[in-house]
Amino acid sequence: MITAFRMALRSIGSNKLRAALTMLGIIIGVMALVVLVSLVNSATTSVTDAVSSLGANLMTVTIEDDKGYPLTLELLDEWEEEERFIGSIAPYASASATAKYEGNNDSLTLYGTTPDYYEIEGLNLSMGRFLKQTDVDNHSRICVINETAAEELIGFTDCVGKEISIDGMKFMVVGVLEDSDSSLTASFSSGTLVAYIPYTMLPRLSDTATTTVTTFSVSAAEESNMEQVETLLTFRLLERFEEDEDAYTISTVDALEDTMGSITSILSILLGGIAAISLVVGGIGIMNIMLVTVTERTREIGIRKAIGASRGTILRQFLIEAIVLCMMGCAIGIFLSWTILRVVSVITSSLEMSFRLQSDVVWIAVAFCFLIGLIFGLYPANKAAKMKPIDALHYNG
Amino acid sequence: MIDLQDISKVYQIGEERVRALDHATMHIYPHEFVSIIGPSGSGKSTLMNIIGCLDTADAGTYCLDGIPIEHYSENELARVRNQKIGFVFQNFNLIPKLTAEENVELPLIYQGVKRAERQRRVKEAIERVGLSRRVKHLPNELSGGQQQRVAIARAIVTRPSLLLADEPTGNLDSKTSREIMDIFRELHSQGNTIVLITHDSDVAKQAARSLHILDGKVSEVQL
Repeated sequence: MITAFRMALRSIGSNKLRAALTMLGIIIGVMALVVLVSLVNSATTSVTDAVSSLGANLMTVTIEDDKGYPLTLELLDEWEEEERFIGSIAPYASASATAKYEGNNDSLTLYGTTPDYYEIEGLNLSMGRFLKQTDVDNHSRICVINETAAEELIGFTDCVGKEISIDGMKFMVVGVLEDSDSSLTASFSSGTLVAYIPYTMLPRLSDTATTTVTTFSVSAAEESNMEQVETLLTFRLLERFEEDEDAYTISTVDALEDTMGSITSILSILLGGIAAISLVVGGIGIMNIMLVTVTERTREIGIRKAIGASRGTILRQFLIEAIVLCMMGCAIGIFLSWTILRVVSVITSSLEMSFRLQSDVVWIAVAFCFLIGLIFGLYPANKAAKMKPIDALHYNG
Repeated sequence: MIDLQDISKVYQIGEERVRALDHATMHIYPHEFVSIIGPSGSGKSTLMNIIGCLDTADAGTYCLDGIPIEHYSENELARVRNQKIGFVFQNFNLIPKLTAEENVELPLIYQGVKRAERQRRVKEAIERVGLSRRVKHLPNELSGGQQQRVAIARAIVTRPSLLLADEPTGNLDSKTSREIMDIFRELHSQGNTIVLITHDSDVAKQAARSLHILDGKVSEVQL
């Protein structure tokens, strides 16, 4: 076996240029497979990380039909206090509005919510404070705006204490929120002006908003409590809405992650499939060159048979040669993929994505190359093994 | 040792049927040095292929070492060639990519002999043909005579019951030819059975017994 392996290496080495050109097909195929799948997987990892940074212990409930029993802020407070699995609950509603400051006019997205929203959504203040419970209770005319809003509307971020008018109503800015770039919503909504006002103030500004709650975010006390929280909410909501499951929807980040995961896995199967096709094409190249080799070495095969090589021995010799050729191409391809991924990582280092060689796709590539060597080597090897010794000995090619 | 009875072989070349061997009958006994002489086209090569188990006859029986081999499969024939027959060809038929040493070693690899034992026997065989110095060279770095010595070493390394030489001196000058024939005589004196196929009566004369082949028929001759 070792001898056969050595012989295969020597026979490949005796025609280096041809071997290199033959391997090129496999090298390109392996590179396509490994690089594409690794890129997709790395991108997926980054995106799912971003998604889960939205809050793995977060779910959002939307009420579709309240059956005449609308949820109230008081009721949500009650749930929050009664259930130990629930971390906090924050109702919210949004509307678009026009904001004015001195001469500036701008449209902004207006959120009416409660203090818990700050923690649940993972917001960060750059200065001032967020909404307080007293603001909600007292219908305070205060707002918290994001940095974009501060810059666009007021012109500077240090604007705590300034008064802006939203749809003609004066609000005092009490806090400025950082435009975080890590969360996914932030990246979707970057560039938009946002203002948060007490939940109870929204109905005064917007015709569609009411004091009843139609949307709220819930956080679990612990990430591991997510399921209990979901069951619990389901129970309470069903109770209130006459056992109608269509009256509300509960969506979690998990569900979003699942969707993203299935999209990207389809993508990597698709790309991997395309790359696999190029590997098969490389395999045909191997078969082609092995057929040439067999013809060229007809005399050698004759000699080997004359001195006692059986069919199996000849078959194995040429099969090993084809497989070794494939595996060498595979090794070079994997090495080049590694290099490419490193280069890509360096170039895109600002994107906070790391492109790494995925070990599972490497093993898939190795197994695939082995199979290709085996499948496409079998026919030429069998052709060699089937030669009649006298015909092969007297072959004059 | 070798027992051919009414061996016939017919080739179809285009429209024409050529009877290469026509009821050839011959016997060769152990430890004999026999030459088979005949002009080209007489069926020599076919006879050699059949004796060497490279080909099978269309009719007749062939016993090698008392074993009838006409019904052997291809792999069984390969094993017989490997263990019982050593070939020496006119054009040496060494594998160009292997060194002299590795060429000699090859039949032992096919026999599955262990590495240490292989090395010992390769060394011994090479010493017997007097070529100890150039064992690491590739065939194309050796002279014709040296290549033929390597081929003889490869033939005897398995200690075969039969040494089959097909025009072993055909591609060599007369001085080298004499040296090669000396090796054959020496191997014969050590008890090897040798069958030498040639068209040259001077070469054939060196054997103890000569058989003549003409138009596929074998007959005993005195030279």
